[in-house]
Amino acid sequence: MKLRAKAALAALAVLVATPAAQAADPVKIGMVLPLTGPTAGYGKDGKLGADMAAAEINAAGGILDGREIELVYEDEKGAPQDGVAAVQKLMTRERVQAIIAGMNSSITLAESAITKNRILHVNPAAQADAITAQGSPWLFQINNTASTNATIFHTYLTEQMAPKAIAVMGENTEFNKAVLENLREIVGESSVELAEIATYDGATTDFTSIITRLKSTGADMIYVIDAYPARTAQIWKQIRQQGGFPMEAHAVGTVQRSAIVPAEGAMEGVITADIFIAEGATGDMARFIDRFTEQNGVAPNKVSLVVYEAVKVVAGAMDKAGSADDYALISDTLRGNVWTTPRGALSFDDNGRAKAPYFYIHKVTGEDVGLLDTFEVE
Amino acid sequence: MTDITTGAPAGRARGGSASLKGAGLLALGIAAALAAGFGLGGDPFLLNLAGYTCGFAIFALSVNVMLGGLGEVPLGHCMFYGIGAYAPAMAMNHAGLPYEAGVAIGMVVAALIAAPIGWLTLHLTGAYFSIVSWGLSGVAMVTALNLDVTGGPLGLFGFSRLAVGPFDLSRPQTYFFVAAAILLAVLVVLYHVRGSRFGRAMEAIRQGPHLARSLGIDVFRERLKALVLSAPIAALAGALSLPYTQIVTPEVMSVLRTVDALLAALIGGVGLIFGPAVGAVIFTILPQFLDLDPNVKVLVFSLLIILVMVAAPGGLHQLWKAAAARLSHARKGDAP
Repeated sequence: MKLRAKAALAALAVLVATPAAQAADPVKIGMVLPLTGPTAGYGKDGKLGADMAAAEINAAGGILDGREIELVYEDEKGAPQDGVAAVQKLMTRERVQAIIAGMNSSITLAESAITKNRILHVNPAAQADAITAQGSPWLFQINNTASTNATIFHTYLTEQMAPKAIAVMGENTEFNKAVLENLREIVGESSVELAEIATYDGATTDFTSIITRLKSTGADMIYVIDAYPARTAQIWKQIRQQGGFPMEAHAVGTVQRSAIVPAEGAMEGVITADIFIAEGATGDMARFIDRFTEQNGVAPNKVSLVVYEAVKVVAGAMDKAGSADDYALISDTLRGNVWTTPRGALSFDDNGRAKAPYFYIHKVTGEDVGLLDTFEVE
Repeated sequence: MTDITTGAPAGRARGGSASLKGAGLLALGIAAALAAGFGLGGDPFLLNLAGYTCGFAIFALSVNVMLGGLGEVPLGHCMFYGIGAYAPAMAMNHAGLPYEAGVAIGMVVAALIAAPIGWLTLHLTGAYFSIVSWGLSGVAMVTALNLDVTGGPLGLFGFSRLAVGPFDLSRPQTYFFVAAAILLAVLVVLYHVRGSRFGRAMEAIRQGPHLARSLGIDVFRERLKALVLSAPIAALAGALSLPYTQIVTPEVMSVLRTVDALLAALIGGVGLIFGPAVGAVIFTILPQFLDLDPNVKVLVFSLLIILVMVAAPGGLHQLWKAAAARLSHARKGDAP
């Protein structure tokens, strides 16, 4: 009888203890970032944003009745095969309940083939339209698509700045291809002439001959499409050495302090645009910037912001859906609600593409970008 | 010496024991593959990585046909790897052909392209050959970047069915077993090539092309044969990477891929038939178990490679041989 009573008590203890143990289990979110390799800077910025978001969520009591968020990081090293390995490792070994992965479009496409119909995947930064055009039901994107950003910026360049002729140079990548396609379309509808387009491969370091050729076309605007900070600085230094152009622009979302500072003043006055604003920010965005700067000792950038938003949105959707692994329900919750982020109210369309309310035109001023104009995204 | 050119009895006399040794190694390889395949049964991540490693080992073996076989550094071999990866992707996405058909097309195309390339470049040796072959791979990469049929910079993705006959390569265990079986088959082929008249001619050329020529070996022809043999093997490796990477981009033809394979061959030992395969395992799987900060991991792994290259320039098996020799000496010293 004694033994039976003990067994009954033990069973009762297990029954009572189990829900409590479950409640204490953290919700693991897999973070795939370039922590080494040529884009490691983006990974570092993103990690700061993610850590801040997780700390805020946990300090506010966690999600799903007190469960904390635990971020598990893997390095995608800037290569598709390493991105795939990172995602598989997080899904099968770490048993994470969501994946946040996406800086480079090709790598994100490879990763999305693994996550499709298997786990919630949020792409914070990669912009290629092809990523969300796949029709993957549990795939979402925080950043605007390349075509959305390019349409607004190119309209601004042709209508507001109104050059006679634009000379374009950019790395031969998918990002460049998509931006160029959009530029041709917008320019075709205006009176602006597309003087010449010069592309180069990723190993190029001397752009002198390209710049000389573009200057010889008589174009009054140079438009550079390049996403790599170190090369961006190098290009603008070489443009400045050759006397520059009357109007100068750089592709959307690619101008960060990591390019402006090493350019040593060569980017001064260059027009660009982004979904992120630092100078002149108000409301939630200003508060985000202050908190981030206070905690990390450096100001945030666009990458820190979109990764921060990705963690917040995933956690918020899980909490609202009441589940960490019912992906159909979480996805419906993501699409069916509006999410408050530093950028304002964020909503997702059927393809999982986020729509943020504002888009900012910037001008490089000193060691950062300054606000020139604000557009409401329709 | 005569057995190099004529296949003299001396070579055949060794053949019996060599065959036995080869059969033993094959049995060991099968046992290792089965143990790994079933042992890792519950870990899809490691199974997928092991499948990819088998493909990478095949690429290292193909590079080693030129490196260990002829003493040449084929920096442009990544081009054949890329052709092998693009062929099934294009066959599936553009022509609706099955994966296997694309793999076969890739291997044939790689061999057909290798012949004229070899004809043009194999008159060169040493650094000159390496640089020209690297240049050609650069041309291939730029071509892939600019063609619509290759998907341009974004590449090709969204493959319908990656399978070999009834074997679905999207299943990690199946992928590993298929890749391991193909790796073993390639090892068997290369083992027989090494023992053949062609293999002995290659060894003679590696040791001294002038001496080989004086023995009546057509050095250029044998070098060309080696390239044409290694190109479809590299293409096969590229095709086997698809189930893992799920995308093929122009970056697949980056010279860094060849450098990785060269390092794998050097670590494993270029003189051993299975050396590059051992090196590939160390190169791809070992870093996954180094539970360190990613930057520290790169540092530690790079230092390990330097250490191995300094301590055992002939490959890791040199350390094993040295240890075995020391043990044997110690035993003899202990004997009364």
